[in-house]
Amino acid sequence: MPKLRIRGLRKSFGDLEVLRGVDLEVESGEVLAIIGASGSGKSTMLRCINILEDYDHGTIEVDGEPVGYTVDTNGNRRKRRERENELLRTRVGMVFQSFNLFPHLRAIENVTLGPIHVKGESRADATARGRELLAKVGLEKKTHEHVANLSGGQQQRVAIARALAMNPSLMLFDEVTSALDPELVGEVLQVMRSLAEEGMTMLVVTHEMHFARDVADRMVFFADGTIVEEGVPRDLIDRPRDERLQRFMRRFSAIS
Amino acid sequence: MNIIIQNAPYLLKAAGNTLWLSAVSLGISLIFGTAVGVLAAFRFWPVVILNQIGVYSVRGIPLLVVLYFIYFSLPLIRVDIDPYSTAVIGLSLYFTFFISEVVRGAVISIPRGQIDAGKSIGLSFWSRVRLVILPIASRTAIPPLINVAIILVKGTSYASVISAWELTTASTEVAQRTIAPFQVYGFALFLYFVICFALTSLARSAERRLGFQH
Repeated sequence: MPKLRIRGLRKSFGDLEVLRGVDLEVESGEVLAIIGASGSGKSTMLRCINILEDYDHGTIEVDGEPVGYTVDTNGNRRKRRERENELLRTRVGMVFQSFNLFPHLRAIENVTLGPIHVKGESRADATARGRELLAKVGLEKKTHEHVANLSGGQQQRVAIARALAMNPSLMLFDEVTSALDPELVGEVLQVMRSLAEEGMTMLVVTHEMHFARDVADRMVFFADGTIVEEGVPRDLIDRPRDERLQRFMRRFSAIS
Repeated sequence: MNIIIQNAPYLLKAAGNTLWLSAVSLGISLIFGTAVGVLAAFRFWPVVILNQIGVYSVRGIPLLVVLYFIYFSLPLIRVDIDPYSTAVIGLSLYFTFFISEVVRGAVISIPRGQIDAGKSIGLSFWSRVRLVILPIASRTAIPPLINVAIILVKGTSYASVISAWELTTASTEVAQRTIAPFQVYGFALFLYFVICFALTSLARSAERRLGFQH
């Protein structure tokens, strides 16, 4: 069974159809890079997987379990109960472009909030594990720092630790280095690289082609709300077939 | 001066009642105002409608008239309560909808992503409200809430018209008895000022403690 299976995913915002039938399967332990122009639907797909966005048609399954909606044998779609979706969200970790740390909490409290209040772990256990996770992302010295005092790269690493604290089996990264100063990008990518090496299943929406080429097992290119090309990263990057991907890649080589 | 010294215990006791009336009404309107404000911010439609009605009402009706209305209409529906409770009901109702607007504004100004992050780690709606939304909203809500609290304290003086015994009622009694309105009301306004000044200072320090590091 694949870790993630998406079939015929469609989603509109008002009159604008942003996802026009996405099919995707991701195996356990696989690292998938997702590229495409802004507005092509990649972020929306991630948000649907984490049930931060409703979707209109199709199915999403994580470990074979339907996410957001259930479909019965007659094809009737029913929204899952909020409690069920909350549990499903904990199995999927999400890291956002704009970090979205809780600004009223310290680094360690950001990491332990979920384990304490969702999983019901004791504060002591959650804190011990939180310290380990902060050490893992290289921030053991910032454990008790208020998050506003951290650099962008440090904030994003706290956000990764916060997501990992729920022990997700699938991690979603939504352009996590796009809001960072260039010199801070490397530290975040390094954390993601080691996560990939540990065998985490990852969906990475990114514009970092070097990272995608090195770390991703597979790459998909989004255009106009669907996946138009798919393969190993170096093929897509060096030998794009689809005309839209060729144009997309030319813009990249022009700036780098 | 003698008049004030002689009557100070009585007036201070009345000021204590003003404080109680303020604290109880503020407490009740904070609870309801926060609940209404949060649910209205999330477009829970029955509450949105309730909030709209309440907000337009309190903006359009003087507190004094609200207190008169409750005081004289409750007996008509055979509800018999003391003036003090009537004042609590009137003040709480009135200020709930000032507070709900403050809270609603503070909640909708929270970056959407921070609420998404709370969802993403699996927090339920009420956990998100308690652990993420209210703590973040309190940062922006506290200065305007101090304002509301101060207006409420001063609003308790209207309770004198429905003969709830508090500082203004007591001052009027003493002023009439002693025929020294200048000294008595002078002392009363000093006491009101002290209460409101203390409230401002208290709230400022709370704001500093709740304040986030920048």
